[in-house]
Amino acid sequence: MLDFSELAHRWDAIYNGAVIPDDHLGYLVMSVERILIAWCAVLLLRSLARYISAALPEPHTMDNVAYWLRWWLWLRLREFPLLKLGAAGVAVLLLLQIPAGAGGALSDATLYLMLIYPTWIAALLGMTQLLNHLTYKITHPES
Amino acid sequence: MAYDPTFDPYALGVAVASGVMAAGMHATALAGGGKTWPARRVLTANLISTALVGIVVSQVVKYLPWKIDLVVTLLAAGLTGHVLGPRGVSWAFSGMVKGAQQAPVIGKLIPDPPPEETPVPEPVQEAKDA
Repeated sequence: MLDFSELAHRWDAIYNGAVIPDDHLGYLVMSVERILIAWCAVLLLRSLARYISAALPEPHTMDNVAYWLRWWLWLRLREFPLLKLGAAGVAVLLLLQIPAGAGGALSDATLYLMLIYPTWIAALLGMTQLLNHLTYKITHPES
Repeated sequence: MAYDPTFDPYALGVAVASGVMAAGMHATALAGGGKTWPARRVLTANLISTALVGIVVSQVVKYLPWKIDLVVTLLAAGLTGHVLGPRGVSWAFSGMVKGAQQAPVIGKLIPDPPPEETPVPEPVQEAKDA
């Protein structure tokens, strides 16, 4: 009969054990996914910059942008601030884990990494599409 | 027993990964670009040419005299494929020529392209013996 710790060890072996037995191939696959995540983050930042320049009123000086961003954050964080700060913090902390694998530390292609990296790509692309949609709604108010 | 004793599966893996990297970069840029997708055959052709450019770049990087990291290789292959793959080599060549024409010294050496010839309408042959 299985006890709890043995079950936990077995699940750990499945979830955090290497799926691809070859180290080089695993590092190759993981590197491709990590670079794609970084690329999607670049796309997200680009559309975020477009959204900010469309959403903020002129002129786009540093002082004006800082003023409006401050007000926007203040108004947004008045409702459910812990939820918003927590979600953003979890996302940032998880993303910061990704460049740790660039030097080969996360070289094992585990089931967890193979699942979470495509999830990150989908999430970043989805946020990019949302920002594009919001920018389009601002620049085309009649449609 | 291996057919080719110099066959290296890791080098093949790097080449394939570069192609996948370039095609993935192009696909994600299209998905996050906010524009409508091209027709399916255009998209397929673009993805294939992007992957080919990525593979070529990875092979070029392989034979460079200095050692280059895997991540840098993949980045170079992906970015070059994303820029060059859908546009083609002729686009890069004409861009280089345009850039060289604006350079201070070399620009005078490159002649301007000849003006496009307007098609001359063929004279209508009249029937002589009517």
